[in-house]
Amino acid sequence: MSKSKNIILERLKSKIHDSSHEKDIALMTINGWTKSEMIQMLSDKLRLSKAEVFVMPTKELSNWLNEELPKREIKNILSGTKIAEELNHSLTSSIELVKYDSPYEPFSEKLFNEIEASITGTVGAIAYSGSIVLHPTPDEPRLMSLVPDIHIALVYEDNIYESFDQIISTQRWSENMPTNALLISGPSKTADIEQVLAYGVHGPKELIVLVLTA
Amino acid sequence: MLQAKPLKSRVDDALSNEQLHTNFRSAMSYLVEKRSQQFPDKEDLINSRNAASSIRSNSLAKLPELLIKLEENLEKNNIKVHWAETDDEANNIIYQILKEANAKTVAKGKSMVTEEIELNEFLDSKGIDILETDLGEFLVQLANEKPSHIVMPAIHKSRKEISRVFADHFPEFPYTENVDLITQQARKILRDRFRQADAGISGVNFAVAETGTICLVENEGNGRMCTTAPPLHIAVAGIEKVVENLSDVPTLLNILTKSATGQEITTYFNMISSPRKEDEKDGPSSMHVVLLDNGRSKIHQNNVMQETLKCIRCGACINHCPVYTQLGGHAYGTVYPGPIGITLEPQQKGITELGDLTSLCSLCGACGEVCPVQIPLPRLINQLRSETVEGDYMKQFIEGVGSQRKPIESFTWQIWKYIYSNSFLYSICSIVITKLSFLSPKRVGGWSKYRVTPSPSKVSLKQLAKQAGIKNE
Repeated sequence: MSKSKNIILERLKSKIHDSSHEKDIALMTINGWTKSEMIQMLSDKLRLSKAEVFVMPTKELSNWLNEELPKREIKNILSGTKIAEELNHSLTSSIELVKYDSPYEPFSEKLFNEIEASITGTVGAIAYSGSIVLHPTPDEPRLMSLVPDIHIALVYEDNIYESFDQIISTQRWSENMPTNALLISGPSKTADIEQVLAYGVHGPKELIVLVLTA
Repeated sequence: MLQAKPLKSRVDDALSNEQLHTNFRSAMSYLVEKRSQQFPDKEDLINSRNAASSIRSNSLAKLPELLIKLEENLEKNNIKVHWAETDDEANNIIYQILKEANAKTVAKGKSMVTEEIELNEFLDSKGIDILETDLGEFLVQLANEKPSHIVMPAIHKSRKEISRVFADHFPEFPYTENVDLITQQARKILRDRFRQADAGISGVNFAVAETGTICLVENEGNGRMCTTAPPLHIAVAGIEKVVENLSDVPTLLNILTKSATGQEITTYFNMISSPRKEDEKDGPSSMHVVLLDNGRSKIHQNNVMQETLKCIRCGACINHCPVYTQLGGHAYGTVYPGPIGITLEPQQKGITELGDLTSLCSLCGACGEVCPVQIPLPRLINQLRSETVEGDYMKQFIEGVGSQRKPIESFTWQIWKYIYSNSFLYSICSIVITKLSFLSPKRVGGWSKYRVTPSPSKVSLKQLAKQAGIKNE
């Protein structure tokens, strides 16, 4: 045990504990919102944070991409293997599907300088605060949702939760914490200059959330 | 980073700077308004504050065991833990880690605790190139200044000043006062740094003992960059940042962002529980957490002042402080300004050096009312004020207790006390003073510089009462 650790802990222990500090966690009341109420709430909140939200049946996804990506002049899109496999045969040839299948280091220059957009899954979303929730995986690494200018995220309607509390407890995070867990609530922004909001400072300039229904 | 000038002349400078007033007043009323919009329901606010406060109190009550648990779980997650009792020790630990990794360039995320230990200056002196990446911090670093607010570091600078600084440092970009364009220029400059930096350094908002997780709150994404892209990540956390359970986090996050910037939630909430695992493709390959004491364990021992450590650094007390609004952050001359600053800093650095800070308070009580974790700031400030001139209990925890006592002032109050507790002496004095009121001085030091000189009335209140026929006055 390091010397400083000893000193610090001894000092902290020397205080007689006041055992009256019981936690009073005001767990947010569960409102029992219906699926469509949650989709509505999530969309409204995300749009307030300047994200774009589209709700569509899952089978419409590739059509939407084929239509929207060229409209937005997106020529390449980074995706994990799973989504890539699902999309590969249905994406038009004008869009290059790039896979994040090597370690970051040799890929970093391309990731930072060439990739225009990324598409990732989510483990869910939080209606109350308008957040999408990601647990990056080897297939969809941590920087995928951060480096490209445009981030497209897929949220299945069944994975929308009312609150942060609810997703943590329902999905039992504490028993198996992912290496990185992220709440994302809009495109990157700053108000550091005269409190003027500016978007796309370091992370994505655009966040597009696609809520997929049955 | 104490400034060479004494407090009084720093205050004078701040008060005579019109531009500064305008900047701060508009920024503070904006933040106050935004916060209040987030708490439309009073009942809700009360419940949230109670909950957040109890979580923080629980952390402090169990601090030693939670820190041990945190260390255990971080190490289990392959995150190396270091303990630093002082700022010097923390700086040296960080330097050693960088040196061993042969890291020469660092991308830094916004962190007040690293300001506290003056990490940038230290690493700079060791030849390490350390760059702030939060836009506000980046601008402050370019201007060779210090943050003036703990959440909005460049709040003292106008857009014009910022444009000038930017143009001076990056002549390759055209001069602009357009915030979007400046932001995009900064994006270009800093992206290369994120990609090439040998290490990233960040602070910590919450450290979860139960899971060995560090949590970071931000809007820009630079924090995620610093903690994800470089091969080495070092996070610095004050020992009070620990919370017991993961389930404590949503309550604290919710009240933190609402209190700080009036946001329902920030753009990013980043929870890191491991460096890059074998099968992962990105993330730092090595991670360190430095647990910093720097006076905190002494504050923890001090039963009266312990609640100082509940602070989650939202800055709401600062935004609501009328003294801060008038002065801005730099006049304080300390890392933490405003109510939390004048409470924390004298405890850390001693009353001899910083005791006079406690006078930067009008006792209006706003800070205590808005604090999301219910720190009784007005009471703590008042207590510290009295410790500057007298005290016994706190001598073991705070340096310089009683050091600001002035013999003449204390003698004057002794006499005052004596006269006021003796009715015979009191009536003699009041007769003499009312009769001789014409002798009272025309100028009374600093008081009459801005105010009308007070002079004793020709008739005492007691006499007036008598004349009015009031009995038993």
